[in-house]
Amino acid sequence: MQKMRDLFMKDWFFFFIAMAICTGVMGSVHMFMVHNTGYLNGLAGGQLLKAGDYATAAGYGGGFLIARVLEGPLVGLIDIGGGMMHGVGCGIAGLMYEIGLGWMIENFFLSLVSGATIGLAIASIVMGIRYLVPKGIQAGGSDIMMGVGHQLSAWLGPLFLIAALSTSIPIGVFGTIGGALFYVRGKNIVGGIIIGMFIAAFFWPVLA
Amino acid sequence: MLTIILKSLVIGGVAGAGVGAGAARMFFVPKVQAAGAFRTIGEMNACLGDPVAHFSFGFSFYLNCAVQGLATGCFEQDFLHRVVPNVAAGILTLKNKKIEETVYDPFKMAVVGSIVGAVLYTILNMSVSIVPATVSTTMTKVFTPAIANMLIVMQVLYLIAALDNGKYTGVWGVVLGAVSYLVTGNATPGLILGILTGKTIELNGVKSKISIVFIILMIVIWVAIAYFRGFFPKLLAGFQALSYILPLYM
Repeated sequence: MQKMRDLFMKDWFFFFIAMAICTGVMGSVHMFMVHNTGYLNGLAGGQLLKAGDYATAAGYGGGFLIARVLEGPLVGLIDIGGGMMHGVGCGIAGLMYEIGLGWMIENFFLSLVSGATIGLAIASIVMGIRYLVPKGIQAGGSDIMMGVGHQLSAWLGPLFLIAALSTSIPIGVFGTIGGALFYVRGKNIVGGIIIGMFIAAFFWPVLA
Repeated sequence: MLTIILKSLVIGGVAGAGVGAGAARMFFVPKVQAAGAFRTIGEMNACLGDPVAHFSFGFSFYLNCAVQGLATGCFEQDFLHRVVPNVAAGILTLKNKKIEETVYDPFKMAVVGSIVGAVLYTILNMSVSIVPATVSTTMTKVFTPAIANMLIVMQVLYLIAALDNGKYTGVWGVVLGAVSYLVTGNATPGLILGILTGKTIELNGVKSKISIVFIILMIVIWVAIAYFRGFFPKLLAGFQALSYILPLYM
């Protein structure tokens, strides 16, 4: 046990950690694009990929990826949310669709292989910066992007509510009730709106 | 159904192992490179090896993921960020309360994280796949216009953020954002890269190596994208109208 622990504590073992996480994330993109479930990232990124807005997805995710990969080695901790789930699951996936490699994602085995390759590349850059870049260099901007991310999540609720209200009356009513209940309980209204719409969609589906 | 289960087991297991090991290494930052998030360290420290606290924290987020997943197919980032590390830590501390021997051990966390990830991810995917198709079509109907609006909001928010954070990010954001919109039809990629470039220049000075690398990188990236998307002929054609307009003023 101690031997395994020492192995897993080696600094270079980060390569395997990054590869494992990226493999899983890329596999989750495959699940989402093929089976409509299992995306290990936010709704916004997933809907961009589903809508075919690949350039936007690549920019939206890629920016976070660059910021997190630059920041990760400087603080010794790479953020798996922005760097991997969002950066790879939205940014790199969008980029692959954009340059015509989408078929790799839609094949389960190839999606895992590409995920592992991307993880290897990310880990190489992170470790390269960790050992080669002299101390004192600062990469900035990720705090600004985090701020925009928070603002965007504040916008998401109202945008969904308006979309729900404009889709049909039952879906709008149930979305409103859900959002109001969540607001009273002190939670982000997005969750409530989505649950409300989900319940309404069972009884009053919109097909046309 | 069987395909979904098998795929889910693989994906959940692999990702869970990585997240478990990365989370255990977070306690040794910056001696080793870890993967996770600072807020996750804070939350795991707050639970302090108490299995009940770990479980209740992890499973409350698991419920969130399940609800989001049922409605949209997206589980949000909380599944890997919070559910896997906390449930794995909870299982490990059930037997041995000494976190130095359990939660701080990347190997144990990787093994347990892998099992937790595989089981919980498979349960989520199985429950989502029994949702009727009419329901998911309806949800997509609602999301499509919402996302179209969100794209506009996103560009506006990034542009405001670029302008609000000093002259460097403002100028780089506006210019690269505009280039990006003309070339790809969306300003977000350029705005984000502009913020990163501007902030790096502001922190390190225009003449530092990293700033020069960034500036050259931005020029190369955008010229290459514009070339491959066939933007330069469109640019020429756009301005060519001048040759018809000018004679009219003569």
